[in-house]
Amino acid sequence: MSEILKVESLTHTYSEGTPFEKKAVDNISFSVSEGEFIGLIGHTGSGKSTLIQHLNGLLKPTSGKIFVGGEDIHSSKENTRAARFAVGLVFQYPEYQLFEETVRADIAFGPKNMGLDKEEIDRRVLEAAEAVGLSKEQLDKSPFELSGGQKRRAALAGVLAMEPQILVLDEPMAGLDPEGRKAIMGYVKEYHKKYGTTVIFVTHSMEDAAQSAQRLIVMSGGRILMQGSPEQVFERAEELRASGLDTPQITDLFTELKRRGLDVPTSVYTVEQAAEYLRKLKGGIA
Amino acid sequence: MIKDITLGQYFPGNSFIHRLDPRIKLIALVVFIVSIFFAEGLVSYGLCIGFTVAMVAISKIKPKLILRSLRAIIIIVIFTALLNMLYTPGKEIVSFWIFKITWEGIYAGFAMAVRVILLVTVSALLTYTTSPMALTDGLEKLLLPLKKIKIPVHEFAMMMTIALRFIPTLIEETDKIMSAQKARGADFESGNIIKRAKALIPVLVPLFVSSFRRADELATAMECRLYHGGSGRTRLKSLRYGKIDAIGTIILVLVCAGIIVLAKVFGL
Repeated sequence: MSEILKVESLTHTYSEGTPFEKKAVDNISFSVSEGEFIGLIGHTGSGKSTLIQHLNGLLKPTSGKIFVGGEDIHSSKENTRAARFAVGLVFQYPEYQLFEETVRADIAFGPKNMGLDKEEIDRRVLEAAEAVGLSKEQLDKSPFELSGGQKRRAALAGVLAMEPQILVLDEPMAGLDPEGRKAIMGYVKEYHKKYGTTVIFVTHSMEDAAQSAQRLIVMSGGRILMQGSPEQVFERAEELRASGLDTPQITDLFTELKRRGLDVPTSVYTVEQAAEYLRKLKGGIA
Repeated sequence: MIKDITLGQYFPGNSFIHRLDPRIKLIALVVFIVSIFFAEGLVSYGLCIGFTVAMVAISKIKPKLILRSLRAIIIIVIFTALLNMLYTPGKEIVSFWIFKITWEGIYAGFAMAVRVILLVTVSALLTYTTSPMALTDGLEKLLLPLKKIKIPVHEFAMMMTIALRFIPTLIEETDKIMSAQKARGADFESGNIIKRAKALIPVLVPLFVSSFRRADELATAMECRLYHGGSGRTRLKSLRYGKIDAIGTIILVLVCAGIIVLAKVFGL
C-alpha cells in the first residue's frame, strides 16, 4: 500500500510570543497508507483537534511538514488548496455549519467550491446522501427541519460529496444517542469498505476506536504516546489509564480475570473476541 | 486570526486603579475629560498629561497596550490638528492658496491633538482596568435615578452584561464555523468586496441560528433560577465605597480643581 499522508516533526504553538503561549502539538511524526482506517485517540486537550486541522492546511505548522500524496501542502498556494479537497475534514458537531435552504444545496456547497459542473455535483450529492442514508425527500427539506442525527449525517454528506482521498472525522458521534452513534459508525465503516477511502477517526472513546480501527495512534500532551494495532495498544492498558484514557470495558474485564488467575490474554478489545477466547477456554477445561 | 481583535479588553490586576469602585472611575472619567477641555496654558496641559501618565503607571498597564488603542484614532487626531492649524486666525507664518498657518493655529492644533489623545487614553484605561461586569454594575447604579422617569435601567444593564459575556463565545464560534466552511472549500480571502460579502453567508447563517438557540437556552436557564428583573435583586459583589475610593476622589478633585484654577484664574 502506498503512503498517502505523512506528517514530519510537526509542532504547533498557539499565541507564540505572548504570555498565553501554548504548545498544542509537539514534534509529531507519523504516516498513513492508502485505505487505512486509523483511530486517533486522546483525551480532551491532547492536541488531536489541532493536529487534524493541519492535515488539510487550515492551520499552518509552527515547524514541520505535511505531505499529502507526496506533495508538501505548504509548498504553494495550489497545493494548499488541493489539500483542502484531498483531505475531507468533518469537524466536531458539524451540524452547526449547515446553512443552505435545502439539504441538497448544503451538500453541494463543497463540490461547488471545487468548481465541478452541474451534473457531476448532482451525482455526488445523490451518492453522498445515499452513503449516509438520507432519502430523496429529505434532500429537498430545509436542513433545520431535520432531527439531530439527520443533521449530523447531512453535514457528513457535505464532506463526503467532495470525495476526499482521506476522510478525517473529529468525534463524529459526540452528543448522539446510542442509535445515532451506531448509525454514524455504520455509515462510516460502510463508506470505507465501499470506496476504500483512507479514514482517520478521532475520538476519546477507546470503545469506539476499538470497534473499527486497524491501527491506533494515541496522543497525550501534544505527543504521540503509542501507536500500533489495537492489540498492541490495549496490551499497555496501564499506560493508557495513566494518561487519563479509558480502556474498553471488555479489556478491563479480561485484565481482572487474568489477575484472578485465569489464563486469558489482556489484549482482547471486542466482545466477539472475548466470547471466542472464553469458548476456547471452556473447551480446554471440558 | 479573528481572536486577536481586542474590544475594550480587561486586563486583570490588583493596582490602586483596578481596586477603585467602578462608579468612582466612571464619574472620574467624565470629570477629568471635562477638566481637560478647560486646560489652556502649558502648565495646565502639563498637569493633565502628568496626571494621565501617573494613572497609567499606577495601573501597571503596559504602555504598549495604550498605544495600540491610540493607533485606531491616529487619523482623527491628525485631521483635527490640521484643521485647527489651518483655520485659527492670528499671527501669520506662511500662507498658500486659501490657507494660512499661524502661531496660534499651531498651538491650537497641538492642544487639540493632546486633548483627543488624553481622552482616548483615559477611556482605554477605564476599560483595561475594570471588568465588564463591574463596569455595567457601576453604570446601572449610577443611572438608577433614571428609573423615576420610566427608563428600564436594570434591563439595559442586564442586556449589556449578556452582550459582553457572549462576545468571546461568538468570536470562538465564528472561528469554528469559518474553519468548517473553509474545510469545504469556502474562500474568504479573495475576490472583490461583493464576492467576499457573499462568501460570509455560510458563516452568518449558522452563527445567527446558534445565537438564537443560545438566547433561548439562556432565557430558560435564567427563568429556572427565578430571574424576574431587577426589583429586590441583591448582588454577589455589592459595590461599596471604601477608603481607597475616598483617597481616589480627593486626588481627582484636587487635580481637576488645579487644572481649572490654573487655566481660568491664572491663565497658565
